[in-house]
Amino acid sequence: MLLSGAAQAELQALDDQELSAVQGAGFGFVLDGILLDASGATITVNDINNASGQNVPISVKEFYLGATGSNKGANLNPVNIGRLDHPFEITLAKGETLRTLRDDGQWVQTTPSNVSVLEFKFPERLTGAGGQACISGYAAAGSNCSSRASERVDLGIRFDFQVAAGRTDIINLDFSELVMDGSYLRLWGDDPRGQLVGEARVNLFAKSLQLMSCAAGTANCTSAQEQTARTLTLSNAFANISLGYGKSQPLLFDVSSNGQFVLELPNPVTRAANGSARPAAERNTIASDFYANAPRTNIVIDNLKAGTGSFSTGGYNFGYNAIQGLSINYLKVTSRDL
Amino acid sequence: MRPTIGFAKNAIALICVGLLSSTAHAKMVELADTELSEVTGQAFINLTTDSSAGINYTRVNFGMNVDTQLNMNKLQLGQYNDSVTRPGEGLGTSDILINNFALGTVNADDTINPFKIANPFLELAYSGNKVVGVRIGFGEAKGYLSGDIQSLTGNIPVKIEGTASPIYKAASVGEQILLGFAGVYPSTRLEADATLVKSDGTFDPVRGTMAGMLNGQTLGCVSGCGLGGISDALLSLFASSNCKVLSLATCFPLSNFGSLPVGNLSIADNANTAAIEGAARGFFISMQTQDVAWKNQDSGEFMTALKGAFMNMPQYRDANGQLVAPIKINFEQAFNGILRQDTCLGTATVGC
Amino acid sequence: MISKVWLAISALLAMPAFAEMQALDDDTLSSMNGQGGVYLSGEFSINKDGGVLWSKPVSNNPSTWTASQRSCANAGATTPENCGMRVAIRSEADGGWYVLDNLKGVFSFEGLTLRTRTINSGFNGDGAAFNQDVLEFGLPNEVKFKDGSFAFGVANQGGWQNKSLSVANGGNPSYQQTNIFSAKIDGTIRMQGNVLIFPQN
Repeated sequence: MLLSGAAQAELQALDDQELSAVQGAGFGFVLDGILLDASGATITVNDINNASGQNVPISVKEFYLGATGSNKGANLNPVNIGRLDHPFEITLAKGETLRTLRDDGQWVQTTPSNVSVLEFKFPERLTGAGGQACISGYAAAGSNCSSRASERVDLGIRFDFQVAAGRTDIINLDFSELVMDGSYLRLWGDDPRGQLVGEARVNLFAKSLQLMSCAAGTANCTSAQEQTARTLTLSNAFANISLGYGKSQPLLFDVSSNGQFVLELPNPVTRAANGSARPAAERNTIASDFYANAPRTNIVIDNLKAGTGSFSTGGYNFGYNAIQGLSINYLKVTSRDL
Repeated sequence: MRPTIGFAKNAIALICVGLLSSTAHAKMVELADTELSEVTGQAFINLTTDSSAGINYTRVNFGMNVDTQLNMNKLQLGQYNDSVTRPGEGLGTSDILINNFALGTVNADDTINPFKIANPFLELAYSGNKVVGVRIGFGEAKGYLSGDIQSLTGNIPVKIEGTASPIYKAASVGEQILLGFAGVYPSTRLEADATLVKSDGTFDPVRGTMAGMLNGQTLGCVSGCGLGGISDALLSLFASSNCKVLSLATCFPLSNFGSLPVGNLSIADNANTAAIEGAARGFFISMQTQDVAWKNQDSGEFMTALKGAFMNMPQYRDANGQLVAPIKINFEQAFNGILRQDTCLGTATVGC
Repeated sequence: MISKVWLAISALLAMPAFAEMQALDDDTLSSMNGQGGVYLSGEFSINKDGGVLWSKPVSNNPSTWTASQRSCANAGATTPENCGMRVAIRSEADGGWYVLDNLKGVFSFEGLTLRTRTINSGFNGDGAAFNQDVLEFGLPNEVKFKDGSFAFGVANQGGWQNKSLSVANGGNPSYQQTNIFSAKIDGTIRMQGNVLIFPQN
């Protein structure tokens, strides 16, 4: 009786929306009332040498993270990052259950089936009625973000490059209303290749990003006018950077046997991972799937302005700049000593 | 440690010498400079500085070789209307706008001919503590650059070189007779320099939509001219004016050129060397708030990029030390355009 | 008089003794919220004075080191420096290694709290729908670093070898390590807030 009862229960395929809610095992986390202020610490990055082989130290200063409206870090308030129903997540899931949001609003599978994928992700995007404008007041950045205005951050960091004796180049970055919904890193083991492979997306949406090339309060950098003249402002800027499409073009990061790194996005169609060649019909099918479903890279700056934005007062307005729909068929980056 | 013979005279020293003998035999050898440089800097990034005419430059060099084949729907830099910086330009035009931009090509069997880049760098130009320009450059670049070029701002010299037979085909009978008198036959090899121009033959480096011969430029004789040096002198009578030599058009829309070869693609790359054989050198894209002089790594000279967004694909010295243009096409391609190569996998060839 | 007071006091004292302890049933227990938690402060020091693998040499020139010496000072520095911890991982058979090198310093924090919390309100309206227990890590008010450093790079061998010494002298001229990112941290980072962790399925 019990057995026959079970036999009558039909298995129904979950539709894509439901599937996207089935993640696998893992945990989510939300940052509640976060505020970070590293202005009391000195962080020095030491990797870059100059032409004579001497170290060029890069000092990292004035790092802060807080709620929007901080006026470039002057009034820091705590902020929640991530929502309880769309938290940061670290999960282990089967490749066929994971989904990625395509530019047209469809959720598609990008990871291969039958592998266990370790995923670290930022708050996921949200299609449907609850979706928020990723950049407030700028529709071209999309309206599928889950983070609301109270979950957006102001972030700032300053780099001092001691490039030469008596000369320090300063880059002072201030993000306003920054959100990174939909970013993730997925890793899994690829059997035929015998290595760890992955795919990644980095989404950055910012209402404004300001780059000031001097330290506030120093010579030529005290009055508001002087500071503005030395500031590059990116307004309504966003970047969706996509690296890898697990099903046919995973991201490979190798260390070669001579100690250099190799970053590779292999040709998705010509050869199977075990090296065997593919017939034309199979190649065409894989190529169509790749062009239809693999996420693309977009970098858009709605307005790029130097200084006042007017040439007659020493500034410049570069207007609208964009790289749209970048899709990489093949990439191999090899490092070497300089 | 130098073997110190003095110690041997001392009894205790004898013991010491016995203990230290293995290290005492190791000689100090001065490291040659190549070895020294391996010992100190083991990184793929370095930072160099420069200074010229009141502008300070800081450049971050990346020791990387990049092979890529990519497509993008649109590359657009500098879309702004400004009567001060861009007088006379159409509304809505951009400094650089290329639709269906692609690097590298794909063969019929879906194997790839990558666009090769070596030693990319990022450079900032400072006037005091104000950034006046930024550029991304490639030490070496070689491969096909494809796209529907709508407008270009920059320095892009093109060399047109090839047999004169396309010219003969396009010429009227009277012009063919004139060319014959000048000693130019269909098999003669001619050359011409082309750059960004307006439709009246004047130089147009800002938001240019055509490439062609400047007013006053002439065809030159490379080989096969029947009258030798006199051919050159006679050809100089036929200078390009208003984008015409005689009745032959000498300026062509950039959109005619679906794929441009960058560097000398007939030279095969040697996989054992980090350098790319036959590569064009000095390519960069920059944005500056005023005219800024950027240093050409190859020649050590500074060249001025105009304010706004700017693309520079300069002449460079090839393996024989000759100054050559980065893009070389023949007269057939100049007149009839260059068909875009296949840049997509599978059945598509463009717009993927 | 005194005896009455004493009687009253002793009666009061005796009262609690009559109250029996009774086991709470599960329903009652589950409705009680614990006030327990953990409050941690600590200090970690990793290879502050160097580690066990390498001793500090006299100079910063690798060709003068012996087989068991290594200095992790920057290229071009005049004084040598002790080396921190090194971890190397290989992600493919016969491939190179990812290296976390020179990890050292003193790291201290005060006031890291850990407790469970039920969330069923707040969070701009999300709390009511969420209605679950979470693990709450309260971030320490200050995290102090002293001489902290680390380097991330790639190498063709797991263990570090001296490129400037011949194999006979304990080195390996074919060893290659490319540092991608390295940093030194000193000072105090101020922070506040909580990290809420909960299971997802």
